[in-house]
Amino acid sequence: MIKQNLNTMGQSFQSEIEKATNIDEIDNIKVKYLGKKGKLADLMKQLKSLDKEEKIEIGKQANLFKTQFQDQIKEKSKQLKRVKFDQQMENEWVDITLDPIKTQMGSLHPITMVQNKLEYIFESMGFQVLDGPHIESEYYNFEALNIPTHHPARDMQDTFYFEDGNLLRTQTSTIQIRGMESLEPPLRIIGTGKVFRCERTDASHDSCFHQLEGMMVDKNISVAHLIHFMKTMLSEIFESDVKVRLRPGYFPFVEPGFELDMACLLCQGKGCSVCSRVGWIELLGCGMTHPNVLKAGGVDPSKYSGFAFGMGMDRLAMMRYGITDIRPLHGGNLNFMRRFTLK
Amino acid sequence: MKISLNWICDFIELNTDISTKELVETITLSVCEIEGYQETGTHLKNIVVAEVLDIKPHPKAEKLIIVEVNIGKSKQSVVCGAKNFKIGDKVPYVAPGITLPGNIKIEKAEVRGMESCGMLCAEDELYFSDDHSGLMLLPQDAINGCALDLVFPDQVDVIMEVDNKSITHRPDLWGHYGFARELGAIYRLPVKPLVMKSEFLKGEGKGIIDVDVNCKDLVPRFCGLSVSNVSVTDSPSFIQHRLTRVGLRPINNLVDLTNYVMLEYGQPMHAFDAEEIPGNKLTVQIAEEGTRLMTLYNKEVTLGQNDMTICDANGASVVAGVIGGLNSGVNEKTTSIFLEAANWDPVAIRKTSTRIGLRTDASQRFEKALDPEISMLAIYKAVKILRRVMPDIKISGQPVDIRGKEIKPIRIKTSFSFISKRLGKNIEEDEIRSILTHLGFTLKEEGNDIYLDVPTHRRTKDVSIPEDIVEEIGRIHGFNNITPIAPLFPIKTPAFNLEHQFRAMGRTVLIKTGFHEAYNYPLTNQSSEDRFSIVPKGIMKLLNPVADHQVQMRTSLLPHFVDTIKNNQKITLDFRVFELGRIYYKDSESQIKEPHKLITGLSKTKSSLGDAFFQLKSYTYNLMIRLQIPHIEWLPLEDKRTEFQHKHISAAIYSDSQFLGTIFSFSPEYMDRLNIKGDVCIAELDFDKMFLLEKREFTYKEPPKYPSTRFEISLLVPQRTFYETIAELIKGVDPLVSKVGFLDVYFPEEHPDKKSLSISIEFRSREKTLDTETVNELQDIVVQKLAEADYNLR
Repeated sequence: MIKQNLNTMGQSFQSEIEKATNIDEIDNIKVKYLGKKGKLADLMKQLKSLDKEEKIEIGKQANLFKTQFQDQIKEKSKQLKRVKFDQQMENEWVDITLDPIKTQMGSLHPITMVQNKLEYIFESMGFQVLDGPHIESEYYNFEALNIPTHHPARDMQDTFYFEDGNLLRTQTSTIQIRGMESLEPPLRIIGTGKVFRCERTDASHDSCFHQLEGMMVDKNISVAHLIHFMKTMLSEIFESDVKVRLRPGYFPFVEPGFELDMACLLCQGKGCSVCSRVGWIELLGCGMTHPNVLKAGGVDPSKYSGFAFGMGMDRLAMMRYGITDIRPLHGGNLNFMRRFTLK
Repeated sequence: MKISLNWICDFIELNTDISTKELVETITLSVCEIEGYQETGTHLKNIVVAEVLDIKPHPKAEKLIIVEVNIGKSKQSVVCGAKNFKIGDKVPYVAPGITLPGNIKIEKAEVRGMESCGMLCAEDELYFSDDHSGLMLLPQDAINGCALDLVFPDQVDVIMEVDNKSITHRPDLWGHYGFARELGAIYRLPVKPLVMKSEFLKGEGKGIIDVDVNCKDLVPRFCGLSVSNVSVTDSPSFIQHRLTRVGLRPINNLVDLTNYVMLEYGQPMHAFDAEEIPGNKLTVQIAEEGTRLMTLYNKEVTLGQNDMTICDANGASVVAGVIGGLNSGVNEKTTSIFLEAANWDPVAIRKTSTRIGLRTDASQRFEKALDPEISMLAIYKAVKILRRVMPDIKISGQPVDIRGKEIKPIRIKTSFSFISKRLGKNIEEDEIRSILTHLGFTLKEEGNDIYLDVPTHRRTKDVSIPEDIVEEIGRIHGFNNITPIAPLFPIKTPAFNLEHQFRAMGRTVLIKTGFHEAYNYPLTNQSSEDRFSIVPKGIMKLLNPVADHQVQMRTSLLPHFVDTIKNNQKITLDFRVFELGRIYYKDSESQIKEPHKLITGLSKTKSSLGDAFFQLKSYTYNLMIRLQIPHIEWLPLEDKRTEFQHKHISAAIYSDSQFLGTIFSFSPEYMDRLNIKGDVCIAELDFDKMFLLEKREFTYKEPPKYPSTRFEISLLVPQRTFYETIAELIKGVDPLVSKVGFLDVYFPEEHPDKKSLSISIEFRSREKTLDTETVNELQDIVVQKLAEADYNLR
């Protein structure tokens, strides 16, 4: 009788578990058959009335059923859970094209970006980044740079002077002198920053703009070194192998002095609208440091020579980012600044 | 400045294989910048000489005529509107099918019923001049049918535009001859030397005009010559055409003559009407203060004690080296002239020209320090031209030649090896010799050393040291023929600029939290600064401002920054901006200071009170933490507060006891006055001070081994109680209080002057797990201490 009940139980368990379609039913089945007051427990209670041999036999059988039920329940619930979660995932849909939180990224000023990049390039080439005051003396801005008293550059039309005789630096070349004063050759320095000129503001001129100045001093530095360095530096800046050419150019603090042209990156020197059909873009002034400048910096020109270069960062930024008017660089207009957040 | 290739070729025979493009590039790479060039006269080969055979009226149009012309091979009939010619004259003819410059296509046409085959041209149509008053009249000896480029070979030319800025240091390049000399050196070709037969300038009797130079230290040389029996006419067409091509308008033969010589040698000249010089004497002297002079541009200038003038008996008649007076020059009645070619002190000329606001072809050249040796050569050249056109001219007396300040000879000692070493390329000695000789240097060699005498045309300004010689060799050899060489440097990391890195880090943190970086002008004016009652401390004022809004250095970033905020509020109310820049002032010891300041601003639409403040405070805190600023504190501004700052929505920011800056919203009055909308908060920080602070270092601490116990309390406290005061109190209760945190605040309606403050408190021991008893005890103590301070549980 009990044996028969046991078998019936086995069959009903089988059919119930097979029919079960969700996890709750499995829980019910578990309680019904394996719970404290479940069918198996019930049956075990009835075992007392049986004789020893029967007890052993049916007990064995019941234990077998127990592990079998447990395994089946485990397997089935795993299977049903998977179904359930699949279902849940299927139902959970969001519109991923939305951006309701809108975390906004700010922006660096284009000049800052160019400056950071330049400083990074130069530091990795072993240059020391220096800084200097914007308010300078005539000595640092002119005299030490071999710009004599009557030189037109010293005129009031070009330079902002203060009542106390100081002035706003008109070039970052002041950093050459300060650099040589504070460091011993061999030296490699750059300086970046604001410079000022008495200019009426228009699309390509401003009274305040930004320059990068660089200098290398060692024994036997030559024009060949300068050309090599300029090519390397510009290739880094423009991230391509640039072609350069030197033309004679006059700057009092270098001799010989050069204007450096770079082959237009768009047309490779053939001439296009970007380079005004010339094929070359006038990029920077450079040259071999004038012996008077070395002397002013406390460097003996009979032992050392060097080269220096200076370029406008505004123009570089404008070329790089396609800015056509210099004026919005100042003032912090959002419509301008937001262009420098990549969205 | 425009230069003509034909003009240059008056002095040098260039190889015809050289293309124009190549030539222009060569000049640009070795001499100075050619900004552009134009090949002129190419159209002339399509235009032929036509002889006028007959002129008939047009039957249907009164203003037109029908001209029959002989063009050599054939006869043509052309309808024409001009009337300045007669039968037998020779005029330019363009056949149908030809396109003239400016894309004017000539076609067979019917003009008011009469067939017109081709066109007869005026000078402007052929780019000879801008004359359109009638047909161009060709020389009588021109052969019918001959192409015009053969009649006017000089018109087939290349006109190059020199960038004047690239020759400021080269006085020798302000005339065509200088370019011939350069090309001679580049192509190693002979250049016609500048020689003068002095007997050619010797005349009869006494000179008409006497000259005195009173300021010889400013006049290296003054040359002059009296010439009579001249008449004023138009210049020969050859001169007119050349002047026109290089952009000068022909005036009359005498004015054109001085201009022509100037363009050839770079030496400006002046032709006085010798009969219009009262007293027959010219005196060069410094002007008396306040001297007035009417220039030939009909504009009065006032001169001062630094200006040189040329005076006659009636006073100043010429501003020396800059411009002639209205009556000093020649006019149509002139019959005798005094030609002047002087050399003036460059600095004096530049100053005068700047002072009177007049930059002329002459002053522009003199301020470059011209070679005094060309002055008499210029007069010689002028007389030669004059004599060719007017063979009957008479020279009176001897030329005037007064020398003042001496330009000293320059001898440079250098060596072949120095030149090669500095260029970084071995240049053959012969090449060096050849280049320098062509450029006019005289060489003396002693072993490896070279002694160079600098020619007069290079010694006034730009050549004086061995490095200058390196440049001469380099540019003529070609800098681009030098192979680049990598400099040898020891491998060594540079000393990094930590200040730059600190500022770069600050910027990076800010942009990550949505701040846009603005640049504002460091120049400002007082009224902009006054808006914020910024205490004036050693303001740096410009002596020569160019704009009213830029007259002094900013002493604060705030004024411009507020404008930035205000202007951007027209675009949106929700944004964050910052500027990291310098301010400028003189401190109490008159030292100029340029500290870096950071200003951040947050604008948003108004919601709850202090919203912008709390947001900006959080961003600022973030920034300072990232910059490793130790012990940041936010305290009421109190006596640090300025009028424009809100009394309650503002704080002073400290690190330990160092004051670093402020964070504030504007007072309601200033919001209104500045016309700022929404909710705005601003923070100003002293970046240099932050850089100098001893930074917090990252040190790792083992995570606590034992769990903490947390409990939350809600207190009902007076509204104007600072949370921080309560938090400090709780922290002080027991060392086991490990953390106090703000949870929430709200303002219960039933207690209008109170707020409910929820605070979480954490207890933890680093030695053991706290038992319930201890925790309860701690809680009781906290509550008790709070109650003692009158902070009661809600």
